[in-house]
Amino acid sequence: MIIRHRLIVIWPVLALLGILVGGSDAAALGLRPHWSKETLELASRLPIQDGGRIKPLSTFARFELVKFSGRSRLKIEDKTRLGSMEWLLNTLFYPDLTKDFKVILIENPAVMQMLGLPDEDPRTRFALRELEEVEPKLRQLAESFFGIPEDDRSLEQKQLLNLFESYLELQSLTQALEFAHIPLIGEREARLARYMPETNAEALQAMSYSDLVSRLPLFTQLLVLHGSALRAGETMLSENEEAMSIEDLQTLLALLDNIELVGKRSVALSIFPPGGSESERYISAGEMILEVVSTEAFPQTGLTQLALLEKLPHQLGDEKAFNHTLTRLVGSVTHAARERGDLWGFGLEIFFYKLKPFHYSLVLFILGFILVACLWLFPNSRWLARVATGFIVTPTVLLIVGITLRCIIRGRPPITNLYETTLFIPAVAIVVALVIEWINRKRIALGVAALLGMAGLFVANNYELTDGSDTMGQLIAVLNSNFWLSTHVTTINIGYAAGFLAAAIGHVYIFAKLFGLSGNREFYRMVSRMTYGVVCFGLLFSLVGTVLGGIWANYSWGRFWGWDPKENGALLIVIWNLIILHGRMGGYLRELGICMAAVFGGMVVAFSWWGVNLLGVGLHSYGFTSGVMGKLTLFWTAETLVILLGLIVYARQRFLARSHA
Amino acid sequence: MNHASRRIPHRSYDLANRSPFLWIPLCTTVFALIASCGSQNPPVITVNETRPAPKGDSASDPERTSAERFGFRIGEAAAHPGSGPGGRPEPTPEWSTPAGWREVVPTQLRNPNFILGDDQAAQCYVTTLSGGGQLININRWRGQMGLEPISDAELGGLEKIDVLGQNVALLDLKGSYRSMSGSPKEGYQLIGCVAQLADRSISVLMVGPASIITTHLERYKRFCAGLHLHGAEPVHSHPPVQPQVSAQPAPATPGTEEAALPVVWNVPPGWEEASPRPMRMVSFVSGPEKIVDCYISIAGGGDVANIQRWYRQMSQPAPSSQDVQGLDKIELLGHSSPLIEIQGAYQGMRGPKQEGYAMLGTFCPFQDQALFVKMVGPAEQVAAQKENFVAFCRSLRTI
Amino acid sequence: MKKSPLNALLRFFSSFGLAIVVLLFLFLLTLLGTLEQARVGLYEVQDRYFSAFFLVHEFPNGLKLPLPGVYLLSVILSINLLVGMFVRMRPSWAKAGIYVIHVGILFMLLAGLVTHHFAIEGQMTLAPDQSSSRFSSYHEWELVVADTSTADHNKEYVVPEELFADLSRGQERTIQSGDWPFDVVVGQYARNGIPQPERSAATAKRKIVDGFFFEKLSPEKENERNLPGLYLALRDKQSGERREAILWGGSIRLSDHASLPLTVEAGGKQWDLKLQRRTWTVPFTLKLNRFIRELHPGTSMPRAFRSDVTKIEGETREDLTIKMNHPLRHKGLVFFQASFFENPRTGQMSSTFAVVRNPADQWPLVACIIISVGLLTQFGITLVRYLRSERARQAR
Repeated sequence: MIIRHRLIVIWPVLALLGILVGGSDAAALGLRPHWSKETLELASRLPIQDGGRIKPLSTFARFELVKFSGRSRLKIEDKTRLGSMEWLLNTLFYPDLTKDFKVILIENPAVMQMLGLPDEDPRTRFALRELEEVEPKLRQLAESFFGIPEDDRSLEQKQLLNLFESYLELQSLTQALEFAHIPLIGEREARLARYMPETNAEALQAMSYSDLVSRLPLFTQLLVLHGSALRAGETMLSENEEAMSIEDLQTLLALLDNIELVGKRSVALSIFPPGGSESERYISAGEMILEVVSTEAFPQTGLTQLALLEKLPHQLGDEKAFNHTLTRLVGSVTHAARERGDLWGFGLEIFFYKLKPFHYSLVLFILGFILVACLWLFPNSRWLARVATGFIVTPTVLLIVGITLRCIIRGRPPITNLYETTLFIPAVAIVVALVIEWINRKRIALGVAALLGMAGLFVANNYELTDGSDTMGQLIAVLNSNFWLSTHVTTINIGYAAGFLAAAIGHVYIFAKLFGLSGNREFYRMVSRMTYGVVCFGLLFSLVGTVLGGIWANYSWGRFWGWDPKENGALLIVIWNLIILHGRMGGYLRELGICMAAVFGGMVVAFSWWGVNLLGVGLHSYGFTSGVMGKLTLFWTAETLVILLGLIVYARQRFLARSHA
Repeated sequence: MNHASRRIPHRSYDLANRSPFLWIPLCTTVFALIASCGSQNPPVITVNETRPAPKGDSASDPERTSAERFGFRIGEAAAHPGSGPGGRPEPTPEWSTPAGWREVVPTQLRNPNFILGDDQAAQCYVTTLSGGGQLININRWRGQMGLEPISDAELGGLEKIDVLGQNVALLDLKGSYRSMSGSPKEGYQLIGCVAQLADRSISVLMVGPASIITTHLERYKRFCAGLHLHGAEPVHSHPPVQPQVSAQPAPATPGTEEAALPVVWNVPPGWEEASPRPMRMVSFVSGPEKIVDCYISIAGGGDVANIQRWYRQMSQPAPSSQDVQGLDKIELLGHSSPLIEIQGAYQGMRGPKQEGYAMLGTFCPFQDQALFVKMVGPAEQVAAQKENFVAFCRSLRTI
Repeated sequence: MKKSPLNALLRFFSSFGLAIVVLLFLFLLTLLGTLEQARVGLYEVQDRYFSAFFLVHEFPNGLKLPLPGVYLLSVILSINLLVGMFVRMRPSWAKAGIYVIHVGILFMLLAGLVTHHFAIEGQMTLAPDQSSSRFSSYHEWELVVADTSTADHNKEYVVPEELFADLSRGQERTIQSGDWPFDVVVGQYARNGIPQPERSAATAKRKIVDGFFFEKLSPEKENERNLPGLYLALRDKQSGERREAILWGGSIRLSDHASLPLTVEAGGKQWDLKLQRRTWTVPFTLKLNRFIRELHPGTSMPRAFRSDVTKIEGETREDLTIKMNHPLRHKGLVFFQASFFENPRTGQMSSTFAVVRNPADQWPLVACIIISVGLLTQFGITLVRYLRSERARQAR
């Protein structure tokens, strides 16, 4: 009977594992173009500025794809999957082909309806080409929604605006290398060569885009010289200079316009480091052109890099030449970026994303949980016990290594944004659980650790995909303080972790009692004591963390306590822990009561962690995350059910006690 | 196992421990009573808090009306800078404000000025311009809504409305609205009409999101019907010096999309505004034969280069920068600017050289570029207009 | 313990039961107050839930629930703590930590009480090269009567908002001073509203003064945006003649922060009256040299805000920098970089400082240290005890 119970737990876990392992392989590419490993490797090392920081192109590709599609790999027509880097290179170099890839995710059928797109299924991915067909409608709606103040926008309006932003961004990626293809010098333009002393028509016609850009000041000069004659009726030409015909002047004007127009379309890749030290802004091909036009300055290295970038699309057939040019480009940009001191943690970041510590950690936790479950079936196998422990400890170490790597890459404490809490909180909970296991060796905390690891990393993974923004992004000014981030934020999150751990152990008590998994009174007493111990541990950190938060607030904006939702959330945890503590002291809560209260404590922590962000007020709000509400409601409902089960257990106890008497 | 749980079973059955629910209401009542005492204000209060007043705060004015205090009216002088001493008092528009319209600070071009409902986007205002005219205004509005100009004949087909005693065309346009600055706004509606008086045109324009504007159409009509001029007496000849407003934004500098601030001026007597020309913000002709040409332009490229160009146009050797510094100064947009006077043979854009010509010019920095005022014509006629030229330069101001 | 009424009372106030009930109420109020913020805004919730003795919470379905306010609960909790420490806890080394923790919490509650009653909070906005030695409240208002007839040593008489904020339509109160040639009779006060020209609406039932009536508006969610208005009359002390006026805290002109003062001539002097945000002076002058906003490159995300200021105190001038997380503390006042304002026409950046004067400024820090020490001691003791018992169990 008991055995069957335990097996039931294992099957869904196995299924989940299958999905994860199956999903991680299959790099085979059905559609040509094919990118060799070497090319992908090379390209991923290209530094790019995005979101205010310099990151590897591979990170950029990953989060762009996640933002557009909610996935880190792209499924294309014939069931093959593209890695994010392959997707990005396809988008840049084969824009026409990639316009048919179903990339942009629309979750809400209402948005599809607004645009007149097929709306049979929610969460459909659309190809750029499909969206281009409805662009006028999309643009018109977006512009009218943009006029509505942010707080008054409905969910659909927000989603449509996000869609519009994604659309423009993806479109601009497909246009990023367009300038390399568009012929700007035709027969008519070639005629201009005769007004330029050092060129002839053939040379002019052979000029690449970057050549033209580097000659922009010359063109402008020509325009000023000859244009003034027409403009104000006077001339600056000397006697022997040939005056430009109106027709040629118009051609020149059109050419300048075209250079600028083509350039302006290529703003997606900010990869060219600024020349001087006063600017921190890396520029794209388009911005470089505007810079040349407006300042008449030549960014020499920039132009060399631009020329290399321009060459790439013409070498697609020749992998060797392509890689050679790419190496030069990456080398040149990397060199300039390193000179500027912008590449701290750059190599490590590439390594981090290649290592995928959290992915493997999740897989191992699942395996570990299965092993612990087996261990419950065969409690006397020492061999199994060791393997199971190994399978829990390894992913824990991997998780900690991952968090540490992130800290080093960013030069920051472990938590700076909501995503990082989803890594840190399970990590702390697991470590505390392992410490408990080490003390009492009951294999309960071990199982709980595995479960929390699975759940936590699953949430982390899910959040990363739904949020769709760089998880190593820059910090806004208020948060830009390592001291407070490492004290207050860390402490308070340890408190959260303890809350969840206590709740998890509380579940063990309730379920064990409900199903009568153990007849040993000592077992229950011990589980309850563990719960209570973790609650105390949680109180320590929540209380100190909350007060530290107040001190930070007093230190940075002059009030210790402002009844801000996030502060209130933390206070709720503190109060609830105090209630458990005093309830036990006063004899109001016993074993079962503590465990039920701890389960409720888990709900309180969930409110403080995710719930208050949905209220949309206060200094701490990270913004609206629509999918979170549903999941949170689900969690609260499930936990309420668990508490109700606890009540059933209580009622049964009372009944049994009375019938005994 | 632990000491605490062993000690728990001692349960006391005294009232205090068992029923905090009984005590709480009791205590709270007591506290409430304490709290409610002493917070009543007596009917007469003597002030005891004083402090030194901030220095330099001289906003006192015993003559000030409530409207001025609340910011509804700005002083007449500020509202109509054109009517200086010697100028006639301006006839001022009077009106009754429809419900739901909020009067906001009037500006030179918008007096009165309203916001409709709570939405800043929907507005209605009255603009008084000297010159102008019905068709020009209407076509400018059509342009803002992205529509082609219409002819006088087509005006007749429009709905009519009574305003300032005239029955004029009521323009009702829907679509994308493009104001002087900013991106076009979709779903807008524009309602406008223009009354053409002898010396000025008065237009009433209502524009905003169509959903709001539609609901205000009736009120707009009532507002127009109720609008009248106080102290109006049509002036037929010699219009007094009046503010004239350039609706053309200055050419945008490359890289910036912001429209430049318009410049306003007073038109000197005897000057006539000429048809628009490229590169010029505005042109005037004056003199007996109307051949003295004066214009404002905004250009980059540095003032020295431009001045040297002027000398070349007048077939004169270019001066050094010291020469320029030694010139007489006049006031232009708050700058003390050199007044350049050149006599010589003028080589214009077309046509032969004109002997015996003179050029007057000045300039000042304007945003990132420079603003130039220049007058060219036969030497004696330019000399006759010099006073007007200087007055014209002085009258220039940004709004 | 004997069963005397005093003992019963002491036992009640020291009981765990009371502690738990109060904590449960605190939990409920914090939760409801947090949820309510999304609807009515922070200021309103603070006022109604957290600094109140009593309140009635209305659920979305219309159900009304009377509840004790957080202020009341904090008072009861303090009494509970205090009495509990003396009555219930037996002094013992094993409980030293718990003692310390409770002292810390009491101290923190005390800090909260002192802050609530004695702290002043406001803001000072400076444009570059502007200097000031005054700051004004975000939420409170005052009526100022100033004698402006002498240029050098003129004096302002201040009537804080709470002296007339309770007046509604038809009520009046006289405010007087021996120095004034008139009495100020304050009438109806509205927390938020706008003066409307007489002609803009049906005005049959409104009181019109100088062509205007004051239209009451419902308060804004962000209390800072409320602009109050006041009907008042100046009654001449000799003739008894009344002059009516409306004062308003705002101005229709966006460029002005407040309406211009009402100026009257009486008793051979000139007086200015205005309704303005509660203002305090500081014993030194602050001058803004420049404000800098740094953005993360290529984004509109702020990286840092910084104000370079000069503190002028008599003859001494000191150049200082105030930035996020680095306030200026001087003479019991703290200046924080709070926000900034960019003039859309000139692009000039003004800097806004939050100014706080709080006698209990650093108390929470002390309380935090006390609590941490207590918690660590107590849980240390408990953990050691647990480990020992566990080892004993395993040995068995």
